[in-house]
This record gives sequence, C-alpha cells and structure tokens, in this order.
Amino acid sequence: MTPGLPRMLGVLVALLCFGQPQSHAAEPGIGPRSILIGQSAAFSGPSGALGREFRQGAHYAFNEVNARGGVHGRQIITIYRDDGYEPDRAAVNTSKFAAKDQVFALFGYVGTATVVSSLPILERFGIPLIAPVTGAQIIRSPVHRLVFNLRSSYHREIALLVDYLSRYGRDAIAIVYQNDAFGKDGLNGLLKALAPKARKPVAMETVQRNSANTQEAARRVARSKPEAVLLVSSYSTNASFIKHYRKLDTTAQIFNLSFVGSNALSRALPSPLRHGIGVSQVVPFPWDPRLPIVRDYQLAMKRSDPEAKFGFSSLEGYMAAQLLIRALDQAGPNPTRQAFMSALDQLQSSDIGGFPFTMSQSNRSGSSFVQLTFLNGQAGSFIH
Amino acid sequence: MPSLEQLPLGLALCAIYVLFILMTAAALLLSRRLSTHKHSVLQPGLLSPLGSLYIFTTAFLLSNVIFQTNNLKTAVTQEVVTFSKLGAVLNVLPQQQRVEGRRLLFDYAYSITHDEAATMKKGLRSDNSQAAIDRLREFLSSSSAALPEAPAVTPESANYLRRASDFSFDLIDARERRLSLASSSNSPVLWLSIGVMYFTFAFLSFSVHRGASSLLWLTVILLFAFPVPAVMLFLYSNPLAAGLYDLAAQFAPILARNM
Repeated sequence: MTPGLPRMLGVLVALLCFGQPQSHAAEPGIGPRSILIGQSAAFSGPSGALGREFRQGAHYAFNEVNARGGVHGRQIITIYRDDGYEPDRAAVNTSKFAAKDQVFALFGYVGTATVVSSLPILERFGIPLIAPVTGAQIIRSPVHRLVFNLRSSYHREIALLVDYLSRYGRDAIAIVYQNDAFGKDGLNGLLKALAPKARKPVAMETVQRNSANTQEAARRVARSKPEAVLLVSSYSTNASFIKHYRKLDTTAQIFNLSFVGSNALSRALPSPLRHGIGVSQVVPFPWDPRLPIVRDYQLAMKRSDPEAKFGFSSLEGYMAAQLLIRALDQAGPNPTRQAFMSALDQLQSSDIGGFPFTMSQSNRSGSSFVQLTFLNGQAGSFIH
Repeated sequence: MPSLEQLPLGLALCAIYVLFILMTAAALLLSRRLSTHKHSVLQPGLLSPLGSLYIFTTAFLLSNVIFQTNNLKTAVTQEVVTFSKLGAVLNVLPQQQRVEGRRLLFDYAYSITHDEAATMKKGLRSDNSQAAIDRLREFLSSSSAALPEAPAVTPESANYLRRASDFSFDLIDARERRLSLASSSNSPVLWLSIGVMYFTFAFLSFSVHRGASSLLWLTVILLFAFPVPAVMLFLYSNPLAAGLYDLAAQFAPILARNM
C-alpha cells in the first residue's frame, strides 16, 4: 500500500462528501459522518518504513470498521503527514493538524523526539495522542494527561534483554545509542538494568538520527570487546552499524529495540549479517494466530491484500487502531475529546483480542508485554 | 577414484572421457597389432554377450549408487522434519528459554546450509556445524531446557522431556546418517572393473571390424555411448558435489519459517 497523492486525494474526496466537520459539530474533527484522525510519522527517508508499516496495519483495522458503517455511523478518516523522523517537521505537522485540519485526535506518532517536540502543541490545543510508537519514559512517567500508550516501555525491553544476556553468561554489554531523547532513554534504561548487577556498559557510543555514519562507533565498540551490543536507533542506522561492526571480525550478540523496525532491518541487512540478530518486541508474534488479535490481524491483511507480509510494525498499527476504535465507540454517538479520553481511562485493566494492557488516569503505561526474537539469515524470518 | 573427487566437476568429467579415449586408442592399437600378426581368432558373436555383461555390470553399480542417493534424500528429509519437531516442542518452555533453544537450533540449521553443505561436497564434515550442534546439545542437557514448573497438560506440552530428548538424539543421528550416506561410494575396484570390461569390449569390437569408415563410426559410437554409465556412476557416487542434490535447498524452508 503506497502512501502519497492517491491517499491524500481520497481524504479530500471524503472531506467533500462528508462536509466540513467543524461546520456541523462543535467538537473539532467530528463531522456528521466522519471523524478526522491525524498521524505524523516517517513515511519517507532513511526511517520511512517505520511509519509505512504501522500505517498499513492501522489501515486494515480502519477499513474494516468503515466497511461495517464506521463508529456510530461516522467513518474514520486519517490524514497523514510525513515528518521523516525529524522533530521539527513533526512539530510543524502537529500544528497543521491542530490549526488547519482540526483533527479530533492524533494517532501513531513514530519516535520519541518527534513526540516530545509535538507535546507543547498537544497541550495548547488539548488534542489527545493515542498509541505513539515510542517506549520512552518521558511520556510515561510522569503521566501525561493527553498521551495514551499502548506499547511497553523501552526500559522493560532493555531489562528483559539484560536479564536474558546475564542468564546465558553475557555480561559485557556495549550500547550504541541515538544522540537524542530516544537514545538517552535507552542509555538510562541500560544503566538502570545493569545497576542491580553492579555493572556498567563496557562501551557507550552515540550515532546521529537518520545517519549511516557509524564506522567510528563500530570501531570503538569492537575495541571494547563486548559480549553483546545494544543498538538504540532505527533500522537504517543500525543496519549500517552492523555492517561496519561485522567487518571487524566481531561475534558479539547484537540486540535492537522494538522501535528499530524489524522487517525493515531484515531487509536492510544482507543474509549472512542478518542471521542471529536479536530484536525485542512489544507486540505478539505476528505469525502465531493463537492469540485472537493476531488471528484478526492476519485475516484482515489477507482479505485486503493476499500478498501482504505480516510484521511487527503493521501488527502494532492494527492493535493501536483497534484501541482507538474501541475508545471512539465507548465515547458515544456524540463524542467529545473529553469523553474520548475518559473512555480510554475507563478501560483500566483490559485487553485487545487477548493482548492485555492497563489504561487509567494514573497509569497510561499501556502494555507490559515484551518478548525476544531473533532474525534468521535465510529469508529474514523470525524466531521467538 | 579419490583423485577424481578432488577435481572440479567439469574437470573430473573431462578426465573420465580422456581415460576412455586413452583406453579406446590402446584397444585400437592392440587390435591392429594383433591383426597384422594374423593372430586374431576372435569372432563377432562374442560382442553381444560382452556388451550385455558391460551393461548389466554398470547398471547394477549405477542402481546401487542411485539407491544410496535416494537414501540420502530420505535421511535429509527426516532430519528437516526432526528440526521442525524439536523447534515446535520447545514451544512449551518459558519465553527466554524457548528463544534461546530455538536460536541454537536455527544456528545449527544455518551452519548446515552455509557451511556443511559446502564441506560435504568434498566429503568433509563442518567444524562450524559440529560446534553449533555441540552448543545445542549443551543447552538441551542443561536446566535451561527443563520446565521450571509443571505446565498445564495439553497435547503440545504432554511428555515434553521425553519428546525433546528423543528429537535431540534423532537430530544427532540424522546428521551422522546424512554424513555417512553422502560420503562418496566410489571404489577403485569398481572403476577398474568397468575399465577392464570397456577395454575388452573395445578391443573385441576393433578386432572384428575392418575398413576405415567402419572403424571411425565404431570409435564414435564407443566414445559417445559407453562412457555414459561411468559418468552417471561418478555423478551419483557424490550427488552433492555433482549438483544432483542441493542440501541447502532442503533446509531453506526451515529457515524461512517464522517460528
């Protein structure tokens, strides 16, 4: 499913058909037959796959509910703006969503720095943000009144990785982190996870967001001879690091956080380098249909596109969309942002198709689900 | 014929043809020499039984090596199935143990496709695959492969320990069977017998034929038809090196699975 002009035209046609929402209802983004939702994410550039795959999954869920008549008779219409995983562009996009498009809610923002840069605008306009694709503490603790997380935190992911590595005797851990809020959150998570073991990372190197300039970081990390390397960046940067690092004849176990974009990382690496790369995940295994949400996701994908490939990011998008749909449904036939946020907070300890999460006024952490996966060299498949 | 196996496939095939050409030339020269001395008392009627003997012998040898190749295919299929079963049975383990077990299992599968598939063409086992299966065995013999507490009894979890144990030993056995069946079945004695029979047949054929044209066509027929069973024997004696059987391709579906 390719983004761009056709989709934007679709949105425009829908707007013409359903009329200007704000002219019929007092609540921004709510029209007589439509609900406007905005998503700013990386749809192009070095991290473009992160937003595209998430959006693909979300679309399957929105298409399904719209085909059934929408939520209380209103179609969910999503507007996308590409921020290229750059905070400044994300802030500009958010301003446009708030002032120009007047969306009802924001959804599926990808990245910590992009979310952080948008928070002041959210505050100014009182727009809720649902299921951002970031596990950073900054939007979890303290609880932000407008942000509703679904995925688990990076700190939980890192704690699991450290636990796993210690269990199998790999305590010398190096970290390569993005030089921004995301990377620093990852670094803090690792320091926190290692503290009870009275250990510190054997190397701490930074890389730039959206950059493939990782040669020097690879050289320095290799010099520290770690048993495992934790990469806290997105797929293009991590793939570049792995290529440089493996050229130095190193065998340390490499781990990535869920944000990396698992399928995109797999595609970005040649087969021999791909094998054995670890990735922590915050959603269930997309190929295991035993969980109802995964079964629904697989069916929705196959119905829309029999050739579509399952993936972690698209499953996250699908699950996030299901959360949004449920809250819109529970907000009633005349939803307001306040009613919508109250509906989310009232979910308490709930689940989406067997995937448990917690949502309340005092706890917006969402899920605590984390699991480890490894890439297989041959076809870029995953084991869990 | 161990020396032939060391050569690249194309070169080895050329070497076989050169041997046949040399034997043909020797048979021709010998038959001419004996014919000059009027010692030839050979009858054309001997050609038929000798030809049949050559065909039966080479067909028997060929059927043996084809049978062995089929056994190899069956053994590899069984090994792939065992991989799949062991991967599935690990599903009942807690997450960290399960993923570690599967990682080691898939590392072993990966080492077969990327390392042992190549070394086996030279009739050798791979040190990397040996190390990978040793790591897997170490895991399976540790408490990491044991359930921390009794799981709910389901068809999947029932008899976990016994099944995991069976499959792990089956996996080791399967590797040894594969390596054994893939080892070359070329025997110098067999090649010698084929050579002797061919030489005898060629000598007899040349002895009972006269005329340049007849000899030319006889030579062409001998060199086109009679080395074929020998070439087939060589190819099927080492099907991996000959490219008749792609070991890596058999394991590809396992590695392509999301498990």
